[in-house]
Amino acid sequence: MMMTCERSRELFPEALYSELAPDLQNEFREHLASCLSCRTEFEELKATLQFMNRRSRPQPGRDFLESFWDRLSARLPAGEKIARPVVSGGASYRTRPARVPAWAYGIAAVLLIAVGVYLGRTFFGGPTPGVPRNDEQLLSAGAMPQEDSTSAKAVAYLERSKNLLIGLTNLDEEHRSSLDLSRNQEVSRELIQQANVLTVALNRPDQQQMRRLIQDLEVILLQLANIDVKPGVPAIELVQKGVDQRSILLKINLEEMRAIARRTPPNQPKKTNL
Amino acid sequence: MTDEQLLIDRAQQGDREAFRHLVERSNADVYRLAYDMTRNRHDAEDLSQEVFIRAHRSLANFRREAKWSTWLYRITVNLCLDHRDKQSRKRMEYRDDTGYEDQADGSSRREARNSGAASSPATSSPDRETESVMIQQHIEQALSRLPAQERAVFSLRHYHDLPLKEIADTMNIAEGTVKSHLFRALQRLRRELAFYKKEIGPEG
Ligand SMILES: [Zn+2]
Repeated sequence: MMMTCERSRELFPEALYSELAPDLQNEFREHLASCLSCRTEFEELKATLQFMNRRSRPQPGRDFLESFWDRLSARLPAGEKIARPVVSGGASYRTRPARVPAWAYGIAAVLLIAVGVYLGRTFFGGPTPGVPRNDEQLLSAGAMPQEDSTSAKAVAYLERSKNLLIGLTNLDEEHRSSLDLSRNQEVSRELIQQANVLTVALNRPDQQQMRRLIQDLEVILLQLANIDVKPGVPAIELVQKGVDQRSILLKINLEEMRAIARRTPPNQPKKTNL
Repeated sequence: MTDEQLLIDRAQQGDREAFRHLVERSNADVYRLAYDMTRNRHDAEDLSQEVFIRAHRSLANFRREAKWSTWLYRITVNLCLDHRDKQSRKRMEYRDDTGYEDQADGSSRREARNSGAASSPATSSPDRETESVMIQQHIEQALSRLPAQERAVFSLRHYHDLPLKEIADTMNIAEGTVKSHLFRALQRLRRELAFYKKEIGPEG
């Protein structure tokens, strides 16, 4: 009937963490009340636990937490397929990954819808954005002359930029909250690097319009890459302002670009692939 | 369905942003457990990343009845114990069982000293601050001296608030074993910290 010392001690871990089954609580209390040795040990362990509460828990560094997702997501299998051109070159944008609160995604998407609808219309010649095709399909469809590799690269570049922006803008309500803006920013940065190389390569007079087009797009991409929203500071408004001011939307026109590409003199032998 | 279950559902369907939310709500806890087990900041950081890579890989196996944090702790414990085995195989010659890291505590001691020196002599109590830093060091040292299994059990129960039954599931051991690990851990801690008898003692 009386609980043994052995049994009482078995119950210490549960009792110390308030996990003791209700039907054992009275018996346990009675034993402690009548057994000095168990009572002393129990009280000492309880005090030890209270002392352990004075520990300052190990805190992960701020950098560690801030860069955690970016480092992790780089190691996870890619969820979506976005072209990742490997181009090196000087870059003037900030490389620190921006932390953007969820509400900013919505604004970013709304802002870029205008760009996307416009690009969709002009790139595909229809009133609604079509299903993005990849560069190869577009090029093999004969839409672009392949004689000039720089022009072809420029077209491929514009296609990638378009895919990025349309990807951002074709989000429905449900996917807006799950938009991986940092991934898009990463691609933007890669495209900007490519633009630096391309705008230098597009040096012929007949390539000037295409060059300007890329430079205009670069401004949008730069703004996208640099979105860095701090609490209470809607930096994205600055992007919107910048886009409006530069009237970039009016300058991007694929028909115009195609016309330029067609006029490009075929001064290199025809290549079967790029 | 809870918010967490919804996120898990979406993550299981390949929603990266949902997975990101799940990661960011638990990476600090995973880090702390990994630190408690490895006693090393660098290892804890590396292992935390590894935990979520494994979690992502086996996301399809996650059962809805399970708790996300418990599941992550399970991965963490397994990785940390594996890591420890590898380390001990690698470093048979130099035994550093305490793995006690001076760096973290050294810097907090400096901070404590600086803040003590900065405040006015009339109101500051550097002795008290030094004492508090000493206590932190002794606590860390006492934890370091626990065998890995006992330390894992203690950290999960005391600092991560996991019930004994969940610890048993997490570590894949019997509940009775969890209790005996915990009991032994508590006894060791009491002995290690006997220096603070005045504070730990039953009559205060
Ligand atoms: Zn007794």
